Amino acid sequence: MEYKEQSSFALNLEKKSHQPISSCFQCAKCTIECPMNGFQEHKNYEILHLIKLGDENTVYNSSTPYFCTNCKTCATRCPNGIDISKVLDTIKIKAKAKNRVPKRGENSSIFSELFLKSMQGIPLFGGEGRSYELLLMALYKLKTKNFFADAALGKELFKRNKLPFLPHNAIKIRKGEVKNIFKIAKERQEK
Amino acid sequence: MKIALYPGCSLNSTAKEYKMSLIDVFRELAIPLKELDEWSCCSASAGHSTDPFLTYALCLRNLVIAENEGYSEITLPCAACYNLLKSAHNAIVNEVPEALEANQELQKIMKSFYKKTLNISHPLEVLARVENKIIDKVKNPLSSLKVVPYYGCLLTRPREVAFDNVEQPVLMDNLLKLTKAEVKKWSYKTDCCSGSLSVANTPQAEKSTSLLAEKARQAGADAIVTACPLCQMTLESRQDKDIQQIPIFYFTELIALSFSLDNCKTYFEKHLINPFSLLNKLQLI
Repeated sequence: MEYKEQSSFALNLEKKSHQPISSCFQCAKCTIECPMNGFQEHKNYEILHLIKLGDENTVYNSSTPYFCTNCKTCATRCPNGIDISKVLDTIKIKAKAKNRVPKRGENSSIFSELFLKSMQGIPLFGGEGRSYELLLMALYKLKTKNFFADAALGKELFKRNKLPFLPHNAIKIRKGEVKNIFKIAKERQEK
Repeated sequence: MKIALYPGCSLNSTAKEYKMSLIDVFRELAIPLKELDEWSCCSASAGHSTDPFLTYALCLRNLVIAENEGYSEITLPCAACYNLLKSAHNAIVNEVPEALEANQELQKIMKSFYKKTLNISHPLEVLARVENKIIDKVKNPLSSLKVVPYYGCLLTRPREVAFDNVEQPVLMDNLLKLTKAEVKKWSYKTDCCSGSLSVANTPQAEKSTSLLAEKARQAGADAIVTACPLCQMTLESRQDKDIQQIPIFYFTELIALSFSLDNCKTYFEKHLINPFSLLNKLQLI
């Protein structure tokens, strides 16, 4: 592949993530200390290099961003002040907007989407503003078609009264604020 | 001065014992604490991996409520909430565009915006300020209990958010020493438990938690002590089930136990890994 001085892909990701991607000199400190390096398809520093090369396809097809736990070890170790987890977040956001989430990243993408859905409340039951674990898990199972995972764990939590049956209806006076925030964020994304 | 408590979603569901023990310990130490009215979820890792603007707006909403109600400090027992709300505060201070935009939108939605006046703390910091009060209250010294403190990621990283040394935090070590528990040294206190991917990528969480449990055992500890509901839940539910599992405590539970508070049994009954056999053996309960 031909090397370009600064690909537009790299410039765009730098701007969106507010991280100085171009200053990476491949020391690999971010990767040596990354707790997920055993699970990564591309190592952190490889992702940064691919971005600099402008290799959009490989970056979007990589499952690496979806295995990041956001532990911020890379951000603490990087001698150039790059928070790689923020770069990976930005890749996830762009991949989602382009409908290019890779197969191995689907579960974590679905989980995030449903988490945000569950905190917007449901008609008649309410629950605006707080995450509703039972609905989240039910929808997650439906979407990923993995019905039996964690069934035993759910039962144990239920027994200990740690998995509320109904949504948390705690926002009474300031109703609508959280919904409005979601609405404005959506309008802003579509712009 | 009254401190606002932002419990976060976990403390009302999977981490009920953390909330109970935290409130009990604060009451015993006469630190005024009141749950923030009408707080909303910080959106956790789902938020920042979807839209930074949305995350800033959701986090700042809570800070605006706390400011308007006249609080000067807000304390967040959940490491993920603590990290996100403090990052939102820092983003306003550092004038990050998405955060400033979110603050402007809040002016339209809430008729108010965040004015950067709050001190955002974790309960570990609040308790570290009253060490002498804690020493006076210890009636049931935990001298037979060997523990390793586990801070995880979000309390110690990134540097701008951390309340203690990034590489070698000691706040929890010091608090546990006040209860007379034997605090063991280990090199894994700031490693990741994979909590944010515990559901979406379970094998990864199983690997991380089993490693932590193994290293805690090697360090000679009977239990791991956490200050985060996600770490506690992940370490309890994803730990290797084929070998003797190691109990996971919240630091507030152990302080409550050293104070001999009445509710201790209620907290421990909520654990997924039963801690009673250990505590009975050591004659602590």
